[in-house]
Amino acid sequence: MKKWLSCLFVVILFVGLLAGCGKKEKQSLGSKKDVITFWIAENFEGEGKLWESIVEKYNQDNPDVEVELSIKPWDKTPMNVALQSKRPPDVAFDWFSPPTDAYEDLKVDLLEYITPEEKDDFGPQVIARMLSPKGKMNKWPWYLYRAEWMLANGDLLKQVGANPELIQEQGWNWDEFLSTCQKLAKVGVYGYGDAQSPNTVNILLNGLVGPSISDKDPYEFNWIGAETAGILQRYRNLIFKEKVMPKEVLGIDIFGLHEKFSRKEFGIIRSYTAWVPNLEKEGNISKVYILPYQDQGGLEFIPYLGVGGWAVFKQNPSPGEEHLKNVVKFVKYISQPIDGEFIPMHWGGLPPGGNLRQKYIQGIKNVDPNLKFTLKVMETGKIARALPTAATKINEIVNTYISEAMSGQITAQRAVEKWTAEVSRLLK
Amino acid sequence: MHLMLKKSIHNRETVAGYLFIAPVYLAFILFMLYPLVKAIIMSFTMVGTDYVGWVGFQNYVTVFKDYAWWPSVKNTIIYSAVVVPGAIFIPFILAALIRVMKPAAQTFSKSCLYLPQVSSGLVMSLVWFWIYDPFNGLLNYLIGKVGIQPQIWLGDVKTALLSLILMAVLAGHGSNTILYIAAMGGIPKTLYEVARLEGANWWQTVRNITWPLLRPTVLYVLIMSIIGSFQVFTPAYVMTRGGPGLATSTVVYKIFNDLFTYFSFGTATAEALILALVIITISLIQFRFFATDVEY
Amino acid sequence: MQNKLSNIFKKVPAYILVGIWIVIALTPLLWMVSSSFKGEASLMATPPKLLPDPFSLENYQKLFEKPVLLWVFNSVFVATIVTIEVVAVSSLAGYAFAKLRFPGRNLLFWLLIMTMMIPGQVTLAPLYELIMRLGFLDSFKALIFPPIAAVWGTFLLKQFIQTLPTELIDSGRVDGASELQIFSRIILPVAKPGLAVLGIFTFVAHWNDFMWPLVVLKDQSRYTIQLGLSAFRFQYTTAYGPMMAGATLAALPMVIIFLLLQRYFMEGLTVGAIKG
Repeated sequence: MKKWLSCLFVVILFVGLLAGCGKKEKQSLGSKKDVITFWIAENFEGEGKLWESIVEKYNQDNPDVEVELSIKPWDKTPMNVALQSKRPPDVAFDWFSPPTDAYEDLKVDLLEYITPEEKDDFGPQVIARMLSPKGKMNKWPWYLYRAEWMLANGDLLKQVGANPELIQEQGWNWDEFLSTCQKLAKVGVYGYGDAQSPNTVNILLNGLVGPSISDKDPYEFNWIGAETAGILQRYRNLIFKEKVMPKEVLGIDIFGLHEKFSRKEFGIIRSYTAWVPNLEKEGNISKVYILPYQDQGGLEFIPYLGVGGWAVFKQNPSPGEEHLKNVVKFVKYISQPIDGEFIPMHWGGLPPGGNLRQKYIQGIKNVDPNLKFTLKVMETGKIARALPTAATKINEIVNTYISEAMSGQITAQRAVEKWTAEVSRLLK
Repeated sequence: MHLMLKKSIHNRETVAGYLFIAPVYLAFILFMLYPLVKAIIMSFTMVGTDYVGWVGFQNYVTVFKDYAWWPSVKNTIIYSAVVVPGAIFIPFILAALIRVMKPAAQTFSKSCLYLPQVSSGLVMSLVWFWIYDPFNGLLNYLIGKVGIQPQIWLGDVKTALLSLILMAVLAGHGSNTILYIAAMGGIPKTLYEVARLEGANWWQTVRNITWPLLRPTVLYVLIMSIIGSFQVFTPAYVMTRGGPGLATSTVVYKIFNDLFTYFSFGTATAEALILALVIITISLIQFRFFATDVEY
Repeated sequence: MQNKLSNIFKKVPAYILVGIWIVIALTPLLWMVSSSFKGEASLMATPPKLLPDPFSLENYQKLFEKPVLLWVFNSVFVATIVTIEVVAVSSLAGYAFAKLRFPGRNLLFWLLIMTMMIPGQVTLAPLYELIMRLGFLDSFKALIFPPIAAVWGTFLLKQFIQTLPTELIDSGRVDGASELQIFSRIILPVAKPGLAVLGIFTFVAHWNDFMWPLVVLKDQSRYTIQLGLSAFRFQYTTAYGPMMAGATLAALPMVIIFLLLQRYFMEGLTVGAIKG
């Protein structure tokens, strides 16, 4: 019995080692091609399949390169580890990208590869968004977007006499928002729900007061003072004073919120445009409207647009100019609509280049109110410069105190005082 | 003759000793010691993602001044203070209780208690996340039945940490229970016979025979629990992301954040080493206190 | 007569208390399994329903759209090999630290144990670099070789073997057995409960490991089941249904392994050997 066991043990170990070796050999075949490593994560179900066919076609059309697609989970660890060992992938969805001022030596400066026409079409604002503080263009733009908005149940709104399309056209202010919520409460639903309050307050502050830190050097922190406190106070009052948002919402996540929205327990929620079709289907709602954020306290809300794209890396030691040219060619290819399909449209993203966007829009048959609203936002919104790593830390500090304020631990005033103190300590 | 036999046995023991630990130790040096030394060096030479050369204790000072550090430490200590005793005593009692059951029932109980550990921490955190849902989670539903007000659990700074603690305490404790049962099995039955003849009841038996003889196992459970609870990460990451605010930020969560959000390698490794030093110190104290070679 | 009654008195509370605890401990798990059979609609119903109604296999259907069986095989393969090697090297080292005397024993042991107290996240990057240099990246070698540094296993078995009476070894020496023979013929059989326990724990730990495979594996065909399950998380959604189905599926092999090995927990093996 024992002999048999130990034999089995040896056999398994042997097989194991062999298997471990064997699978590697496969890759050395066909190594004549220039391999481009490409990482994506799925923004919606089925995105991976789309990419598989895109990559397959590209490999067929370009026989001297081989694009290796990796569909990664939404986790930054592999990228961080890869960067730390100086072996990042060639191209990755920019969500995986480290902060703008980290790993400068591993990032490709795409300014070296951009043509004047492309530069023109993107425009200085989009380009500025893709630059690192040192002026390197680390990312190639793929889509323009503002994905986080308030979503409203059109049926319920109409039921209480609100006109969502009018709101989309003209905007609204905080008092109008409150009165709509209260009307919703009278018909037995929660007026408003938000499972990511700190995030939302950030968006409000950004749109009403401006970005957290200014471009100047040394950095100037802008989220201070009475205006800031007022904004936080009004948001906090949704729970404690006007009572249009239930406190329980603090303990659920966005999927739970969606679930309840689908069950018509909430009239308005703060979520993402990508979810509109799902919510309409799940909740049997005839139309879910994207609503703008409100002007308040005499301030006008200006939406800030984000530019999503591809992070392009080079390994250290460098793989060579030929390889980089192939990589950039691939990046430019995937940043355009392919066969009439523009993947970011699934979450409300549009091509960032002016001409390209116009052409694409003209090709859209059905312009529903939400799309009309999105297009308006694209034209009137601002694109801010990419913020340095310090901004992430600042956000964390601010969000900590926002959470405490939303929980009822401290007042909005106190929260702003506390975070102002912390941030100035950080920036010293 | 006798002396020479002793000496050759001694040599034999020494050789065998080194040979036996060689596989583990060589792999240890390669896969654990080497990266560890590198990490230590990082804490003294890195700022952000760059090697800037020797910076002395600068990173450590930065850590102590970091606004998120002390709350994380406090949370970790509170968490451990409740979870560790739970992890030591609950399984012990369970093991003692299970041992009076029929063998079939024992097997059944052991399997049931171990089962929760069979699913990963990630999945368990997700399941408990649902249980803690303030609107319609299982927990609020149950306490509602006995007339307690629904709580916000994970969303309220007052109850968030408590929720994580509760989750750890109500776990199956299967592995520790099984460990205790296996170790209790090693206690010679004769000792129990003697105790029964002398009229000792269940509690006295446990206190005077089982517990002392199980010291090495208890020590193991104690140290592993301390290591585990001081390094708690997955629930804080999956369920609350350290929030709301800093209410559930633990030391390892902070380390993770520093590494993968802020790329502050210097401070992250410094924090990890501080944590390690604390755990080592506590464990040394435990060893002193507890470890005696158990002889019959 | 008296004895029987007092026996029952002793045993009934035990059954009740343990029974209650089992219910508490199993509820999350039952919830997970039950949810895996719930259709989209009833998945997050208000109020929460314990049993799936209606019973649905749609989550499993969705699950099997991905190569889950391959992933399960990968997990089984890796976890089995790792378990065998960990138990082997840990028992050797654990025994040596517990019962053999050699210079520097305590120091070496403490060095080993202290590294357990360093959180894994910190050594992640340097270890990754090392694995890369060794050429183990994106192969099972990266999952199989590092665990040979079985610090935890050594600790566990050292503590366990320490509780075994030293007379066993002395009698072996008197009989003229070599150290290896003493180890394999005397200690191993008697340490079976500890070995089984270590075996199960190691298997489960490596089965559930997510972070390390995430970092070292690239090719989807080499994914372990935990890594594969993470494929069900998108940016703004988590397909809870298939994820619970996957988690249930992932838990199944371990339940089987446990039931197979748990008969080694029978007590009294030691006692039989010496006291006779």
